[in-house]
Amino acid sequence: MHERPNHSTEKREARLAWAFVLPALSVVALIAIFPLLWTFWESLHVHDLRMPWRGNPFVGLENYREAFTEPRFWQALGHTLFFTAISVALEVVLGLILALALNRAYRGRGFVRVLVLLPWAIPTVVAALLWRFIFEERGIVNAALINAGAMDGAHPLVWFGHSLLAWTPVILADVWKTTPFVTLLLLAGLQNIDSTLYEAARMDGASPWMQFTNITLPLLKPALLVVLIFRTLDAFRVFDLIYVLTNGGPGTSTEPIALYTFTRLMNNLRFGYGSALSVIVFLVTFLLAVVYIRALGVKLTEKPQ
Amino acid sequence: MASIRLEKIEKVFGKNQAAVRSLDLEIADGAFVVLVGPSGCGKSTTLRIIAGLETPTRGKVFLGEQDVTAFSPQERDLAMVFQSYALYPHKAVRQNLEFGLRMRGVAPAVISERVERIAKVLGLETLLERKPGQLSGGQRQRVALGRAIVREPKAFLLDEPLSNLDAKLRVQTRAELSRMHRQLSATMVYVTHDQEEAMTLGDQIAVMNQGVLEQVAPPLEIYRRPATAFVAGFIGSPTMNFFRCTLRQDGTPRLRSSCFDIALNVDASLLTGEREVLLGIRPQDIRLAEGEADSQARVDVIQPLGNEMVQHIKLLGQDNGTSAMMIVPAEMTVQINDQLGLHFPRERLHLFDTGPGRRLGAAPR
Amino acid sequence: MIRALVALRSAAIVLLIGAIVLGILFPFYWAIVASFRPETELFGTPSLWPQEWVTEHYQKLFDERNFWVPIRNSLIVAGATTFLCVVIGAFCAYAVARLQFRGKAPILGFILAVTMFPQITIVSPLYLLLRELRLINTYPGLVFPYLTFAMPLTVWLLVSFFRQLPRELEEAGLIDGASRLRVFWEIVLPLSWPGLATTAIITFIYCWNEFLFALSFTLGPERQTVPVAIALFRGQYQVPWGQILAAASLATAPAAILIVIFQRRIVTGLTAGAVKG
Repeated sequence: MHERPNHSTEKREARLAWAFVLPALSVVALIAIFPLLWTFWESLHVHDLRMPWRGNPFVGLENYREAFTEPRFWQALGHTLFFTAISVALEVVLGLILALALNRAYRGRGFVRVLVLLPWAIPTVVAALLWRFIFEERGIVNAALINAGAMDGAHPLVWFGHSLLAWTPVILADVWKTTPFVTLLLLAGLQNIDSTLYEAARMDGASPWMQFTNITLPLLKPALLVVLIFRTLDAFRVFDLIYVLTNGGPGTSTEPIALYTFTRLMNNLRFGYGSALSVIVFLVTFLLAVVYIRALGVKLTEKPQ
Repeated sequence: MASIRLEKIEKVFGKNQAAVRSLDLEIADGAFVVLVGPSGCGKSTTLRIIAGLETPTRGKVFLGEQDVTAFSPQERDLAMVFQSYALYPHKAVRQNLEFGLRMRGVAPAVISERVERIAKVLGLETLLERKPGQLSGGQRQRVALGRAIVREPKAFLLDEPLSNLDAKLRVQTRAELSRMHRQLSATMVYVTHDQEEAMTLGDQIAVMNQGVLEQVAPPLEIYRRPATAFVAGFIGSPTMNFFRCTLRQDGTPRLRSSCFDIALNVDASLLTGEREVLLGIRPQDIRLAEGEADSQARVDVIQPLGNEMVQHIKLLGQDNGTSAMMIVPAEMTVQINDQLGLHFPRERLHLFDTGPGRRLGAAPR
Repeated sequence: MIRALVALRSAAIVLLIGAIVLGILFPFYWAIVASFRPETELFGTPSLWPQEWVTEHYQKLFDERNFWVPIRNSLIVAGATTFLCVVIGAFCAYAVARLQFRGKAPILGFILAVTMFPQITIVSPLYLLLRELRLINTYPGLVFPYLTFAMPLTVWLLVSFFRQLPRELEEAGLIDGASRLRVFWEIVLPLSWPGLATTAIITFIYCWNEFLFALSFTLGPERQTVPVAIALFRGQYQVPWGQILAAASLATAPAAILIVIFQRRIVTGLTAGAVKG
């Protein structure tokens, strides 16, 4: 008979668990966390691939100072926040309306589901091209506007040549591509709400609006939070959509921070400076996530038991 | 087969959520012990600790003479029947029955011989190639039992195995389980929240409440001499009547409340002075007085059950009266608001202290 | 009166849904139809239904641009990434979902955090690393970076799938004498193939659509993936819209087919990972 401590079963299980977890964890650490640290290191150095003879001397926070004194950086940051605020707001409001409507409709649900998934599933690049085609100078939008008499046929509007109007296709394309996904998540949240609650509320004489504010919204809060966090962080790193639709143009008037960073990195090959920009993007993202979780007071990893 | 012994078992979940507190339990080889109690009382946790699915925070588990506290479930060689049956949905009935034997390295010829035999005993021969999804609830339950029996384990653990069956099948299966236990002379530990099931099945009943083992005894003793007020209230249906009253000794001990004042013929040396006690009497034990009544009551609600009748009554006293229940023969003619004289047979009274509810002394006579 | 109002409301809902359905579908319709129009009919005031159907854009796509190459690249890269992620991720997800060990919550939090951080933040070190390893413009040079977003996604989705399996099945296996590993192989995996398949599909779609890494770590058409190839289409004198739209239609096809077949599972997978997660 062998003596074993009380917890050896647990220990064996923990050992197996770590054996299961370690491969995936080390992959992620190696290709995500290690590079992230490297980015921090790079951001404190000059590293210009076009001028390898300069080596990469340590310059402290010089790269950050340069970013903060460059107007194009602040503009890019502003564009990103502008895009994020507008598109996320539109998506959540539209998504909620659509989810509420779909939660009632029973027939044709499968069809609507396929439909809703389609824009989500196609490459963002393709979505951008579709909307670029639609908003081309002689495209269908202008044709429709001319037909309706809202535009002079001889002078069609060049959407992509106007620094403010160029945002229209950008935001429309983003709303088109991601609202369906938002709808899907909110719909799942709605379907988790016990329908007898509504019956009870109706027996108590609550109007549809009161039902919405007293039952739907509070119980949908976790789903809404998830949607808001995912969408905000996703919108904040917008790259593909704008790269293809406007390439940041006209000029740099629709350039988001990710595209600006990419330009400095891959076109100008200024890796030190680009890394500093990357770090800033990372920190802002991190900040946004923390603010959200604090403000809405729900833990993401919390499990309903 | 083997005996099972739990020594000072404690299980604490999270920081300080005690599910089981200092539990000692000895289950003899071949015994049928039913763990019973309200939901959340720790009975399932206790069973899972025996199974090895939970590790106790403190204490030891013995199988026979061996300390198995640190053993994983697969080293303990026990079988368990789950409430949900937990049949492997992707395996046919035959593979479900074979799985445990295969895991233990039993020779293929032996496996198929044993599976065939068990299938015949349980009437599963024609279902062997079906998947669990194609079986009825009763059939699934049999497969779950078969999967346990075929293993010939050291002991059987059953976690509310009948709660998913309809009432008729449940009664039938209970009888079958009793028969099976006799034939296999197997050690069985059975968990249920249903006191009637516990009474009909177990040779020993272990009543648990809030993580504490209140009493372990054969069914009739549990019923006749409940060790605590909780056991007294939990076992038996309808539930026992309880009255708070004063136990006082002036020559002969007397129980006094606003509703009654009765003399006990108890061994007076057991009791000293005056104290608050809890008097318990089962609804079946209250009689109609033939001579002088112990208490007067008014009939409040009448619920005929066919062969008998449940009466909700109010014992008349200072306040609005104390509620109680009694069972009388169905033939009795009685109407609501009738006044009745009641007799409490002294040998059927149970006295408990008012704090932890422990039984006081020997049964009053 | 009330009945009329109710009818009006449901009519309004039907209309709303109809309008949104049209809004979602129109860009697809317009692009696919346009890819069959002759170049001259693409702009101006085109009719909703083309007067003439041609397949020249598709022919040119394969004859002149050799569009097979990006399709092959995308299939290889997305397929390899998905395979690696599901195989390695399944173990990790099972441990997180079911096994008892310290550090479970931090691991889940860590995985979630990694799915959230912007890709652009690691483009520079990954580029330098891949250049050092001479992996720029190779398949592994894309597969490894793809693991950064695909692995956490896979694990996240699989954790919620594994959690949905009834725990008693595994406990029954343990009591029947199987080891944890055996239970995983003989009970958990056979039961979770729908979850594994769904996760694989979702991961594949994410990889198929990825743009930034593919743009940064490839140099020429021989290793470009479909999105990069399409985004970089240039004509000599003008934008070759016909071919772009033909390529876009083709790039949409795999995802569209997968969705039509597996829509229910995909919805469950996506929402379980997000809402309940």
